[in-house]
Amino acid sequence: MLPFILRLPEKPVWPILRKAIYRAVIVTCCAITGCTPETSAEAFQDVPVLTGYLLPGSRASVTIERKQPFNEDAVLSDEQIDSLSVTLYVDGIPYPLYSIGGGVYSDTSDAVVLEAGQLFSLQFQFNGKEVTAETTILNKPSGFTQSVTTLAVESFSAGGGPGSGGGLPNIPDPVTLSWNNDDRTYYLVVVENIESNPTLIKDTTGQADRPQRVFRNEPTQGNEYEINAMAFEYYGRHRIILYHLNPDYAALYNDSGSSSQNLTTPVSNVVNGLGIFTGINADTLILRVVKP
Amino acid sequence: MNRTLAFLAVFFALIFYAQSQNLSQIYLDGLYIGPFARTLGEISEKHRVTFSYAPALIESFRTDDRPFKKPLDEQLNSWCKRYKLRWYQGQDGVVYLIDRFATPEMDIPTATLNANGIVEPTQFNLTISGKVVDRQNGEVLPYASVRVVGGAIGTVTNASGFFTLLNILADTTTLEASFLGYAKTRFRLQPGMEFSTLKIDLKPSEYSLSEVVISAEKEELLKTGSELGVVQMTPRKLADLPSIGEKDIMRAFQLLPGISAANEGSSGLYVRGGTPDQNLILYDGFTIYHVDHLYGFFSAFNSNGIKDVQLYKGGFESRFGGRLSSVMEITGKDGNAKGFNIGGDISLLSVNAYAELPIGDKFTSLIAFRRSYKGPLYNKIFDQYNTTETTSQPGGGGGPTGFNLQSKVTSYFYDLNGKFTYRLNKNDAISLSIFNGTDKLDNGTKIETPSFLASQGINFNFEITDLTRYGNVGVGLKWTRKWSDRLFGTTVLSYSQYYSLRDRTNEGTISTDGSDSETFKFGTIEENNLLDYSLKSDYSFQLSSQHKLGFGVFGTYYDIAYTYSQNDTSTILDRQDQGLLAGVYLQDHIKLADGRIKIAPGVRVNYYEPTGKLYTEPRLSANIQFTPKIKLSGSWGRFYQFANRVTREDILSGSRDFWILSDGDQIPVSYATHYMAGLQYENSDFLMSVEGYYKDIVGLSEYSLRFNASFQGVNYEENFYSGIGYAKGLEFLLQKKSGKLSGWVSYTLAQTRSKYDVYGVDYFPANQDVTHEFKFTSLYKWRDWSFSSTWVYATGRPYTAPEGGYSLTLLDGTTSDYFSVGAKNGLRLNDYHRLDIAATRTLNHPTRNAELGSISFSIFNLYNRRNDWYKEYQIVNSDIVENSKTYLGITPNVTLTLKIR
Repeated sequence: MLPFILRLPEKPVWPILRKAIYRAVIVTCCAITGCTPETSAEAFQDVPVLTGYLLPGSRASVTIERKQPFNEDAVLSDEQIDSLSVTLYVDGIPYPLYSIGGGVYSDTSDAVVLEAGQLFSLQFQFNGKEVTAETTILNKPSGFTQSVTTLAVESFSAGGGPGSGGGLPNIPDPVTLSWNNDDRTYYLVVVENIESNPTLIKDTTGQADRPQRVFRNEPTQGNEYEINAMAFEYYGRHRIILYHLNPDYAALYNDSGSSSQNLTTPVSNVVNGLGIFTGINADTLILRVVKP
Repeated sequence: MNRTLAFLAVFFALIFYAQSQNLSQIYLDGLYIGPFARTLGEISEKHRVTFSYAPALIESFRTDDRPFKKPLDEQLNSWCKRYKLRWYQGQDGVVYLIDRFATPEMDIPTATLNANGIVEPTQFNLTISGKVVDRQNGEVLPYASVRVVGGAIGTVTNASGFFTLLNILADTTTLEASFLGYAKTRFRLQPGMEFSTLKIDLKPSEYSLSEVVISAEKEELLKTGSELGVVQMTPRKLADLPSIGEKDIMRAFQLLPGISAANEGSSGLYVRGGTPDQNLILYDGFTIYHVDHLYGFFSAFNSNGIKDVQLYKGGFESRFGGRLSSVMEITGKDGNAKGFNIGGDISLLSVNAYAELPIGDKFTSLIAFRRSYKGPLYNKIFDQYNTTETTSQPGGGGGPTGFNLQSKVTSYFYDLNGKFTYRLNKNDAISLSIFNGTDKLDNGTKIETPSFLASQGINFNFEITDLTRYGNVGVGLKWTRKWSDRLFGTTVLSYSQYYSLRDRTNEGTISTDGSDSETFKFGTIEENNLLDYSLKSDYSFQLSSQHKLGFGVFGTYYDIAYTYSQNDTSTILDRQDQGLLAGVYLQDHIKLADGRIKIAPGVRVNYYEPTGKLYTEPRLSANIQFTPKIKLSGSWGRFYQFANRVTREDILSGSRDFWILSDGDQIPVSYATHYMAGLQYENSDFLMSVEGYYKDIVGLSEYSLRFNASFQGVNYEENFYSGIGYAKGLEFLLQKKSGKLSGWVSYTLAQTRSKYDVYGVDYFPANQDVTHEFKFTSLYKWRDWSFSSTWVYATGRPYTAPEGGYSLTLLDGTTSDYFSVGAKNGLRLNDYHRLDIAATRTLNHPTRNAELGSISFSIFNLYNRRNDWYKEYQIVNSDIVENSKTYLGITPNVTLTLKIR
């Protein structure tokens, strides 16, 4: 009727069992107490911050800095920022980078020729850890064209219209840039006035600072970019650089955490470190901004 | 003689069997010099008189008497006068010594003993069953011990207070029943009794502080029921412990080893490295998901409505499931079966009232209700949490009138416990249990147009909402049936809802004459709603006196929703998950070697519909009683959890939790494997125990917005991260159980680590990790006063903080600033320590010689230690500003408790 009913043993194997179990208890307690010693509150994580852009035709160079602690009492490691032993591996072949001061390490012997398609690996020791970062240089942008090479923009002042007349200036059509991007990789357009002493388009009398010569954009995965004519601040030649980027660089444009509601951790491709070490490639066009 | 003295000092009053004697015909002759207890022992041996008393009552008295042919009753009168005691002789012939204010009552039911002596047995090898009840109010007592005196047979009553014993030698056997907080009582079977409906009455012990409130499950002489890591508590004596403002069962458990006490901001239990959501809380069979009142400073369980609490610290049986860590089983009071009663408490924080109404002999009911009022203590706790101050701003532009600030703070909490029981017949009972705990914490402010602007045709109003509402509502309908002397079943149909709303938004409209008004709203809204519909049936079948089988089926339908939105329009997370969890379990209890070895293998099989998989949980626990005083226990098992409370990491303003259902994908089904062992030594006065545990945990989940998956539109669903972890530790307990001074010292050495790939390759301390925890609890009884103190020391808990920043030069020559967060939980808060004291005076009825209630004075955090709670950070002009939140400083409280019966 019942699945089974246990019968009591006639004579319990008590003494033997008791001894065996005592031993097991002692072994178990020792095993449990053998905890690894608890490290107390960890100190400031002294890690290096890298800025390294590898561009074909340029000298291989990286900048190494320290992360700045919020707490003034934070204890930094003994590492000297200009005394590190930094090695750049190009397709597995090591090349030393030499300190030229200010945390900059450079291939002063020009032994490295940076080219697209190479695999780069940076390596050095910092605060007892091996800091590494890997990247490659993508292809030079192809099919990079501009809709116009010269753009005529009327000058105007904040109080009046263009020239001596009134009203708003005639705004020319935007400059359209385009390039090939079938694989939807990341590109960044940087526009920079390259005149030595450029003339302002807008009269900014009374303003403390002159406007920036460079205007900043964000990376795009598209194949086209429009520069609004009103975005130009100066007359003269402008260099339009189209950078072909790895996703690591594009990630720098994430929300950097300056919101009061979130504190986001910046993305970095540096192992045991922070910052960016990335290969880039570029093509450049020239645009003239002139008075009509 | 020494053995006699040792025996006299047992935990409760001790009783020798004796025939009734006329004390006036017993003459004392000789020297009686020495401790009173020894004197009584000598008299007992010489004249075969049995004395019963609480050892603590007489331990400080010495006799120095030389009676010459003096009748014993006269000598007792003389001693009682001298020591302010009272004596009486029960119908069983036992002489009871009690406090002079105590009520003399018979300590053994009249039905149990034939006063004229030995009765010849008429039946042999019996099966008996019945229940153990409180003599004063008729409440059945769950998990009370019942055993055969001098034999190996024994058991523990189930949650409904029923027990069954097989293979009882004869119908004249004497049983002994005991229950925490009650005097141990003997019950003699007599021929002709109804052996299937026995009722053993236990009397609440008269001397509360001769025993401790909390006692590890222990059986010095019993041979059943003992399990590793099981703690039992009765709320009856809770008032003797210091508290923030309320008698709190959760806070009392936190004084034990392995349960963290350093979390004033959470009433939930952190058991052996587990989190409160990993602790299953069953209230009369249904699950409670949230236990916090007033930011967690105390729990939503009203001790006036609770009869018994069992805590299984790990390795629990297969009848429990769905949690990784531990189980807390709460049994609500049925209500007084003997008459109408009302009572209540009032403290600086709340008003608490209960009523018990029996109708006939089949229906009992109890309703307990507690509500806060905005007294000084409530405000103190509320302000501790809310640093937002509503200060009046001076009017601008030299205007005569300031901004019109209206604070609309309306905060309160309440809870309601109810239980209605109807006994259909001697085998069936139906009970309906209700639990409702609700908190509303509103710290909002409204700013209206000042008159100097209104006169210029500008109107605006600005409303700062800071609202937190949460609560748990549960209802359970329970049917208990005794199918036979061997088979007992319980079926519970239940519904439980947990809801939480946090609305921290700022909303406003602005309008000028002749223009449209503009409305704006920003801030965060977080809403969590959990519904649990359950049906389960549990059965226990007594196969033989050495073999009991438990089995059951269960099913729960979960419906859990969570939404988190910022700025009114952007919903970060919106999850609506439903799923069915169903299964069966089998639990065996086997006794070997005259009950000295107990093995309890079990298995629980779950089917979880969202993943479509079966999850099998094997369990095994065993204990071995080496000697009557030394016991070794061990357990192992696999434990799955399907509904988890996930931490939403928020470094700036403190992390929060929300309940969510595992989907087997982004939120995996988590599981733990427990390995536990313990060694216990217990004699009549002391208990010493060492327990060790190791838990391996897989499938932990955490939500964080720290890591954005892509810079072109974040998919917030991807911000769930899973990890693994482990917890290990050693717990030491030394307890003094008897005497005027009692209490315990506990120490826990523990390590809880987690590892999430997103936080790095190494294990890091889990949020709840506390390395050292030392707790000291002492209780002292002096006449009608009881004094107590608790001191807690714990290593500070870990936290994560922003630690630095850096700038990068981008390709366009501009720079971008970044903040760097330190190692996950790489820092620790300052160590936590706190001393609380309390003094409670029992109030006696002026005419009825009965207890009327008590008045309790307590001081929480006596030396005003500013313990860390958590850190908040603000980003101000690219700098990080740290703000430390601290727990309560010194906080006195007074509680008055009254009852009519």
